Amino acid sequence: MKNLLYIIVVAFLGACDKADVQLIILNKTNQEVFYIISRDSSINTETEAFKLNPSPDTNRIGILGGDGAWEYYINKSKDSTAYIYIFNNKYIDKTTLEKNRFDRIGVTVNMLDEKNWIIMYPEDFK
Amino acid sequence: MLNRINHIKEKYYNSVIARFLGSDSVLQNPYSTQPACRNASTGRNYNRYSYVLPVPLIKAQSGNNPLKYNDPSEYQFERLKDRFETEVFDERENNGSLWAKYQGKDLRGDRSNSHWADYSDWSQVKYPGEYDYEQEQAINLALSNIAFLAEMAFYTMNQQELHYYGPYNPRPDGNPAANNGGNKKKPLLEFVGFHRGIPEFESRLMPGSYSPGYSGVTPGPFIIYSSGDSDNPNLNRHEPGHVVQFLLLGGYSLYIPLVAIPSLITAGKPYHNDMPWETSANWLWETLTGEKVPINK
Repeated sequence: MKNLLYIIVVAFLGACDKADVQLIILNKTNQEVFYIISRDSSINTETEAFKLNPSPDTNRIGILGGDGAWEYYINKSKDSTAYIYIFNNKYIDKTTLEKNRFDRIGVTVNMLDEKNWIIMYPEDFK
Repeated sequence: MLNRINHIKEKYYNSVIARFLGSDSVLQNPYSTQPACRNASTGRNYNRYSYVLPVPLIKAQSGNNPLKYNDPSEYQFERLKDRFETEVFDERENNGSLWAKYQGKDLRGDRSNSHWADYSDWSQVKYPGEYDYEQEQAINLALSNIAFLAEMAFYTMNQQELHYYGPYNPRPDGNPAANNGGNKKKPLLEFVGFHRGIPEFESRLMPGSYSPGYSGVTPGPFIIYSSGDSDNPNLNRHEPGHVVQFLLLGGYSLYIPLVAIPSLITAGKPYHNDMPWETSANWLWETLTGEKVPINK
């Protein structure tokens, strides 16, 4: 019984992290691109970028936290806007940003609600 | 010596040397290709000096077995079961007393009696040594049902999706790659390797294994991720920070009240990622290794 209680405690009382993945970025190009999401309207070259596979992959972008974590994240920024930076692979070497050339879009919660939390690249970045 | 020889209709039997002195006039089972009993060859079907049946009729039975077979005519064996059925049926039809003898009471003329009904299906009657296929099948079916129900209960308790998406059961969104390529059943718990010395596991019981999303838990000096998410930088650059916390706090005595329970409480809240027990995990891991959580302050 003591061992069983120990197993239950260990199994359920760990630091638990769940992601909110309602934000989707669809890469409509025929090649993989890289993205950065930031609350800052500018980024430096040391920021790490992450891969977006071309559609039909549904690239769900996650943030740790329960439901509504994305809204919380965006609304906590200075202008209630999060910025999505997209880099074509000709601008970067693997995941390290080398040149400050990118496509950027600022998104608010209202805008994302209207788009059903689906952002398409490159259509929405014009 | 002579008076130990018994005459049993067709042939003589010497009870001293336990041998028949004459051969059977009928080959009992000449077309059987079953291997004989242990340490015997297939040719024993042609041994005309054995009793009843030299080799088994089916593999699970044993041959040369007077408990199972009888040979009253000394020409051709018959199964005791067949003889029993015939005798009972004949006696019953003739208003005889054999059935009553077997059952311990007189049931003549009463076909509706429950005892007769219970034993009316003679294929269900088992004899000593007879291999019970029906019983084995019933046990196998019961075990598979128990396993299935247990798994169903397990999924229900963990509120997992019960669908295994695959070529014949495509995802509703038509995109099999969306869920970490998860088209097959994932392991209950799988060791996936070490991340800078920290053991990592994946489990299909974690939220996000079969549904969009991902999750991780650090129950101590090891990490459990949702299936297919151990390489997700949002997780594998954060959960190791909890392991560092665990080590710095000296084990469960402080880790559970200061990190585990608060983290468990806020896990479903939007502000979870801004809580000090979470930001400190990010900071610790980034300071130690330079690995930064992608989306952070």
